[in-house]
Amino acid sequence: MIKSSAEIIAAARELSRGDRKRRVAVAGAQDADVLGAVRSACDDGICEASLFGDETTIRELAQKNSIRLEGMDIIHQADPQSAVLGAAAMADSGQADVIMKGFLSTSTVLKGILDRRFNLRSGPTLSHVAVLEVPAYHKLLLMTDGGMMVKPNLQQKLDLLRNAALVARALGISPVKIALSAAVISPVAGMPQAEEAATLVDMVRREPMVDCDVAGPMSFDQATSADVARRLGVSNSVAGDADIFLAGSIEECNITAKSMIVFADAIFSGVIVGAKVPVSLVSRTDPVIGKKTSIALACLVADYYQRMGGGR
Amino acid sequence: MTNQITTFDQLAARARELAGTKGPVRAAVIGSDEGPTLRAVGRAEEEGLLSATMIGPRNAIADLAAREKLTVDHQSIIDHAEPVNQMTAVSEMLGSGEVDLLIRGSIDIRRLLLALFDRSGNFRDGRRIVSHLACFATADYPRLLFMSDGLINVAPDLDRKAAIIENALSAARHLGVAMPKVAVLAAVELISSAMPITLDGAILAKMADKGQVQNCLIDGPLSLDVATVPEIARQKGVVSPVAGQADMLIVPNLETGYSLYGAMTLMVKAQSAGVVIGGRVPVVLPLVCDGSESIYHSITLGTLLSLSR
Repeated sequence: MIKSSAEIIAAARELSRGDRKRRVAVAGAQDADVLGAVRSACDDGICEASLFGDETTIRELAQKNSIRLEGMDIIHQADPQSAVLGAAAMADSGQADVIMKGFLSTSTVLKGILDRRFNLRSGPTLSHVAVLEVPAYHKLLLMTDGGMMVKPNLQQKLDLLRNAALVARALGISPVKIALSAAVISPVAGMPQAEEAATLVDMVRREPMVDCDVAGPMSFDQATSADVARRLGVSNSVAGDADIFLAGSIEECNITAKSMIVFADAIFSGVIVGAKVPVSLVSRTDPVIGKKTSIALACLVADYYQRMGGGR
Repeated sequence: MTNQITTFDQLAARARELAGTKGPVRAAVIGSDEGPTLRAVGRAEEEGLLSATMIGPRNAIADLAAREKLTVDHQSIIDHAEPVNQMTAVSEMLGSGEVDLLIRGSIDIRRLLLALFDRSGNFRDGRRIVSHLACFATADYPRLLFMSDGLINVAPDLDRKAAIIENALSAARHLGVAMPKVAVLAAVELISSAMPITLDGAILAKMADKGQVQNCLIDGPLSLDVATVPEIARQKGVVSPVAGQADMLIVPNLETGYSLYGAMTLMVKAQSAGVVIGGRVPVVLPLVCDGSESIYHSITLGTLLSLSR
């Protein structure tokens, strides 16, 4: 079971030392931050890279920012759509393991991946899973969805759970302990999020998720602190020991995760799951270690898909 | 106007100073049979911040006080074991104006809030809305960081958010924050119809521009990192007097505030305080994840707000 950002990076390097290097197809590579992140991941032996995008701009940016391009293929595609389609085709043919978002919008990337010409569609919902290494927590904390799904409905929450559980399994977590967020510990009229959490628990009970313990409604403090859970008189396998925290909205997830990044020195990495290849995206404001961890995380998720026979 | 209070030590000093001038506040502790609360109340009483009426089961309170080596004046105990009776006593005290501050002890938070909201409870101040205000101090931030509302208003609409801001502003001003910088939080900095929460942030910011909310600076939507980290605000190109230096975070809904409160106390290990404001008296209400120190901070905050009314 992987417990830190350093272990995520080490595990991805181990993969690439084996039969073959994992390959990241960067869609819209004319972005200095993304180029820098990919370079450092390649230098660390995490992956190899193919850069899809405007070749002239890529070379200019690389020169200006002293980023070496050796060992990276550049496939010239002037417009964003073609760059995405190029990266998606490469992933579809099995030559790339991860698609990484460069200088283009997330929706352009997703449209390309979901293009009917490719067989990259998988589940019904694409979602973002954040992986946080928080010094005050005894293991990695996965949170979803603070990046894509604005206000998931009940069915979408179930999809979000499945997507996040895949990432947890790729990290070797077993069983996967999932907390369904609410501000109370029992369903309460007038608090729909708590009622939905209770309904979700029922749904999962009827149609179990393999090797997952799902509990809720559960507040963040109860999910992550055994002491708080004890004081509230709650005892289940998830309380105080959650691997995944499913928030009720993009705001709840994003704001809570960022509080730990800003004030608790948490290392943040993230990946979009739900298609047959993981999609890696990094933000300009992520520190180098976070960007590198995100790429390594996507490689681990890709490997897990491939081992399970569901990936490309 | 007092100097701006930027730490919990300064807050305690200011509360002691006010209580020294105006006399200790008359506080009622609802469910006094709880160790951490009793300890914090004992400390506040020793420091002259308050004089407490203990509402709860007399024997349990006496036993606890003996165990904790605290002096409890038996005259000050109102002997009620049942929460419903405890709240009736509170309502009577509020009705006769004998109490300036309420402190939550062992009583269940929901039960406490429901009783306070009952029209016969004598707690409401006309139509003024009631909200929860949290306050954090972390090593990484140069001032106190207020947050509202993570406990009472579940999914506030625009008008209610404005009222939540007004409540929080009046509290912040009592702490000497002359022109509070208010960040209306969202997941992003740009306005998007796909994320309705961002619209509220933009409108509230505009309401401040138009003077509909006064004596403060509001910006929104802002993500938490842009609101509190100058470097990230700069990198993301957000130029506003609030970005990077917010005094106050307005969360979109209760669940967000509650999760944020948990993360701030457990993961950030921030010092924290919580009070309910907007009623006839402040209510000291730290959350379950808070320890004894937070209860004391909450009492100092409640005392200062009570004495500043």
